[in-house]
Amino acid sequence: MSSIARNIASYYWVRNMQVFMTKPHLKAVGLTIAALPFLGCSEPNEAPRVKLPVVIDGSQITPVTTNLGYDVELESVHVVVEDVVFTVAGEIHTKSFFEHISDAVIPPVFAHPGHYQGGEITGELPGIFNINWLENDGDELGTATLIEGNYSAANFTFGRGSKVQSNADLVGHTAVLTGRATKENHVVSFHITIDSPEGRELVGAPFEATINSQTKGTLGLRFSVEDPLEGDTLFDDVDFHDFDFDDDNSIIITPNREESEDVYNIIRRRFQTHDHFNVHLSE
Amino acid sequence: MTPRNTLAIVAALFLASACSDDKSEGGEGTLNITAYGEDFIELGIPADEMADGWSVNFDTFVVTIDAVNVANKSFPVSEPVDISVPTEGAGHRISSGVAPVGAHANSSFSITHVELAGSAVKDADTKTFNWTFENATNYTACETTTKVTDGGEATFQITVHADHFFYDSLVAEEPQVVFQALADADTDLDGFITKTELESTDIGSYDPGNDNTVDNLWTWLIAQSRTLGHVDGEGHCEATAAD
Repeated sequence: MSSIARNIASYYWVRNMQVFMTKPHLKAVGLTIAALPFLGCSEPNEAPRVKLPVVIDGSQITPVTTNLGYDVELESVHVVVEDVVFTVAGEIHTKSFFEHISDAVIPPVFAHPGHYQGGEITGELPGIFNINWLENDGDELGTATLIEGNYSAANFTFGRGSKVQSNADLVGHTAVLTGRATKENHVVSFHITIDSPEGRELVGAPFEATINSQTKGTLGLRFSVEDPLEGDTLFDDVDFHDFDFDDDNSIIITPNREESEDVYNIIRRRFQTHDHFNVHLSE
Repeated sequence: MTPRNTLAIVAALFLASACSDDKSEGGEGTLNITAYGEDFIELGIPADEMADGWSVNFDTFVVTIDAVNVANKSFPVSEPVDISVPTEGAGHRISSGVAPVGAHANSSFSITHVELAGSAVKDADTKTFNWTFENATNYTACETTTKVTDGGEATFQITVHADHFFYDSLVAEEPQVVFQALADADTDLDGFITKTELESTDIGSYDPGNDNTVDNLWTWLIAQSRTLGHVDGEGHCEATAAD
């Protein structure tokens, strides 16, 4: 049924229910019929919304050892993140009046073969966030609005730093990572700049939590150098010493730099996966 | 119309809209199932549709389609079809049968085999290819409504989007259509891009999203081959690997 037809039906529904309710002998019939659309399908009623603060959580940025034997320690992690949303597993049946109300707040999901993976979006934290994961650990990003449910994942869009909100290194870029990589007592400092394609979504960052009206606490948005599930790291297969072309113990990996193109692609590919981000509810 | 009658009709409309996406009435009509590769497969992908100046033409583009289900009816498909053969927009009829009158949603089908051969050209460079993908994909919950009228004739078109093979992303809403990375995989420079060459070439700047099993250009093409199926032009389906 089209939205126009639905609106017309709604209008006549309300108008005629008023007629029925003013006639005592028809009231019972009216109430019964009025309930039919709601009894006809086993769909849920509107669930309460829960508001929870979202904070920067740098607790999983710890020193790691890569598959090539480098001990890597990050010194700064700056990332531009936009419009965080929270999803429940699989498909929920919200073809109720609630769905139409929630459309105004919760963006709709549109699946394209191979281009989208994830559940139903039922929570959000809109905005553009320049996150400095280590320096601003614990700072609040904002308040998320979530519908009660069993959450399984979070999504967001990688943004680009602006002159207004970002430090100079991040302007025009998605992320800047700095740190040190050590192997056989040879230390190399690194400065990695990452550019994600415009509008690039990260889908499916783990977020296992049951949210209901009694839920208190904070949602920690985490970045992790090591994939907590598979144990591989963001810097696996990166031979840092190979890229210290001038032997000054310092390397720079940026987009559009031919000599480090391959390693840039490897790091960007890993960085843009859900393996290195998650959301944790601390109650 | 009395309020009581109006209310009954409105209640019926509410129930119908809330509970069902497949509305059948009395009677039957004929439903044709077609497979169509659009101009991109029948005529080729021109350079101005590609982001890097290559153009692509297909000599053959054979698909094996199976398990077509529309209006809760199965439509058997007897043999593979070469959708590179021009049809002037009509598509290739691959099955036909009787279907109940109504507006039918929630259709599904499978593509079990794709075999394409052709060439890509940019300036003086020509690269040829002949690739076969045996990775079956089920397409379900397709976003289209097939309307069958009593005694009438309707069409459910399975549309194959060849340009997906040349997308630079598995996750972008609007990926670029490019060929250069595939051309560069021709490491022996014989002008023929083989499966072996693709398997030994990293995906480079291509974006596989969360799928870290896609790490060479052959697995990239397999992943893209699972996104080819659409319905009635741009209608999307839920695509899942069958193998």
